[in-house]
Amino acid sequence: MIEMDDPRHARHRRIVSRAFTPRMIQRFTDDVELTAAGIVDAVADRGSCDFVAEIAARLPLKIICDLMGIDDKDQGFVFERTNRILGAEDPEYAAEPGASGATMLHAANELAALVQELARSRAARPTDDLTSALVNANIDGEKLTWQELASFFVLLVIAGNETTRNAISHGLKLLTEHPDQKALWQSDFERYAPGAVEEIVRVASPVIYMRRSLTQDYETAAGQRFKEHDKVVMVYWSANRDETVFDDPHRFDITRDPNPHVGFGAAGPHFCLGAHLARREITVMFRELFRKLPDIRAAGEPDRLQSNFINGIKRLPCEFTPTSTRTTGS
Amino acid sequence: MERTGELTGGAAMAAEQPLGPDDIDFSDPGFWARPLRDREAAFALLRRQRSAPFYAVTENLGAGPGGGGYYLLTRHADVLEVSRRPKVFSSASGIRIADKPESSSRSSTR
Repeated sequence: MIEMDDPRHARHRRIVSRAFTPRMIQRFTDDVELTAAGIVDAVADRGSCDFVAEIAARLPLKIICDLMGIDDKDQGFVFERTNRILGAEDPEYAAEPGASGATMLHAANELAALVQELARSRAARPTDDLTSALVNANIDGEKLTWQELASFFVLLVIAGNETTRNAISHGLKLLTEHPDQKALWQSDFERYAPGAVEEIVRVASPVIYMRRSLTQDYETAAGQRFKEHDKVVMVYWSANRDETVFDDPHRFDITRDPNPHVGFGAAGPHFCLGAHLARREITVMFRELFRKLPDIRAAGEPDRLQSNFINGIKRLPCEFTPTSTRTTGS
Repeated sequence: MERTGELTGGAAMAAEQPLGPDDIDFSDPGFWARPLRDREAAFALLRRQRSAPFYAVTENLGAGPGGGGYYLLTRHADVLEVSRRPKVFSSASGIRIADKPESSSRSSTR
């Protein structure tokens, strides 16, 4: 769907939007708090861990898998494949040097196979998950084909997984580097949470760019002429640091207002479908961390993904005063 | 493409050995491995150029038309303008720099 234009894109988005409703998301995100609590409890008495694998990655992965009806036992499979698809340029994930295209394609096909099998089973025996809603979507005679479904699911598990994980990891790094901002947020969590989340997404810019191709010759408002078939790369990471829009753009400021960042893409038909879910996951994760591990901090440099597409963090050591999970129940 | 064009802002690249516009290769993973401060300075420099720089790419761009390279839009206003005009700025050939692979799991839109 991300690689489509209207009207085909609009048709897909319409079908998906009907299933991916706030109510559908709400049903699953009622569990976000519980899931986040479990994730934090699992490491709380250890005093240190890899923040990415053991904290940041777990929440979005579990939520998107639950939403789609992917079994818990397949979460590791999904995690690995999405890493390979988005990190294919990184030697750690490429099957062999220079084979990033093949690595990506193979992992995408494996994910497609998983979701096609799931879709078949939901078509026969629907449940209350998103997969069931989509395979049985047939309002106004509109329905996705099997292939369209598989391709959408691959997009969803990737988009609903990596990007939020990286935003959360960048969030811890930023809050560690700016203890004043962390203290401010902790002084009144709910008051500062919306602004803090937007600021994390602005600075992190988890998706660095999106590319477009021109369908006709065009002159931009700034006076640059492009020709049909030219490719343009919109660098969100840079737009989010544009000093003509953001005062002191390199400052991390959770009270920044207004904050017209394009971390979820800019307004238009491709604006991030999962933005509200991502905001909720980031908020809940930090609320839970601040509640149970208030002095959590990055304890070293992040191991960054080698990519110009995803602003990823592969590993980030973190430290905190260990607590006994038995005494911190809500 | 004039890549050493006029700078409209103060070129206060006081950091040691700052990147020039011609040193910035967006496709090079090595560029993204550079420290944050370098990347910030590089994009600040690009945002001040009069026009979006063009990067010729000779490989891995896929077989589609316009395969010779890409323009890099680094300013907020440019990103907004492109996003608002999806009929002119199409996603159908892919949203990564390389054209999307033709695979069995992704149906073609062309």
